[in-house]
Amino acid sequence: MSSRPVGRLLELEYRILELAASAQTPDRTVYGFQLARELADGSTNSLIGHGTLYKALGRLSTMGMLEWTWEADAVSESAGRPRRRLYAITGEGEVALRSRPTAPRVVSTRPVTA
Amino acid sequence: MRWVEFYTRGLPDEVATGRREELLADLHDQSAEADELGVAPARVARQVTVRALKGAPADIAWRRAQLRLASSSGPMRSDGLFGAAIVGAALMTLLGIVTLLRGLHVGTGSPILWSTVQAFVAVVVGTATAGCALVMIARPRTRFLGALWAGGAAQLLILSGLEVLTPTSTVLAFASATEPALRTCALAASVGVGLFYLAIALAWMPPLRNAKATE
Repeated sequence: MSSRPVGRLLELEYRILELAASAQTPDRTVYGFQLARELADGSTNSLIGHGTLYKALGRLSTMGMLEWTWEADAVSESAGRPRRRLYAITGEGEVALRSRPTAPRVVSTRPVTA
Repeated sequence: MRWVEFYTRGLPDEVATGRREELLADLHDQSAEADELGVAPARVARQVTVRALKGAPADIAWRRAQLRLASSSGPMRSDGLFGAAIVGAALMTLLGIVTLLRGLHVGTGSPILWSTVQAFVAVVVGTATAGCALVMIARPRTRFLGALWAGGAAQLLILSGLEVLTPTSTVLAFASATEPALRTCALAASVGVGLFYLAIALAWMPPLRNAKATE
């Protein structure tokens, strides 16, 4: 549920798009906890709430700015952890990022890596 | 995970499972990183709790959005609620009209009590309210208000209708005189129908315009 006009993004959503756009992994994807860490600038003391993060990711996906896929079972099983949902920025997301109304805010200069 | 089980209950399996799996992976990743950094388990547990609390309003908002989506994409469920609401409002309108006609018919030539006149006026207002509710429920944009109006109409129609109909019906007059619980039953029915429409109104409640998007 959102009362915002369709297409209008929150600062958090722009930051998520920025991080997804700067993903350095081979498949250029990011995942939940990685984003939470990056949004907190590497600190685990001020991690974003789960609900806030996943609601924003869901909204961006619904709007077609992110697309997601589940990590291959073989990868997660070999790493001995639950499979992650991997997000990648779409062309539409890149356009939204470029046409951001205010000056983009630098959230992190470090490359995003898994 | 108890919290995620709570707020994903009743959602479509794919949506609920997706959220649970994603959160499980997140918690695992946080825990694994904490292990690497040598963070005490108690501190990690605190951090996870804080994250869950901070995101709780967004979880609830997300749940509501998912329920709304499921409701609008599930014709059976949506139509069932709509059908029940519209049939109820139509029945109340009909009941009100029949009550008024019978009340007018008996009113001619017999002494009229002031309390019956008051009840008659309440039935007139209740019937008009039920009719308006019927029209409003039929229109998607006013459905929420229509459900509220229908709940209000029930409060006016049932008890006052009984008051108007009692002098017109031998059976009702007899039952009213011999069974004191009749009025209590009518009151219970009135509250029940009111609650029924309140629940429907809550299900159809539009998003608050001035509500800030949950950060």
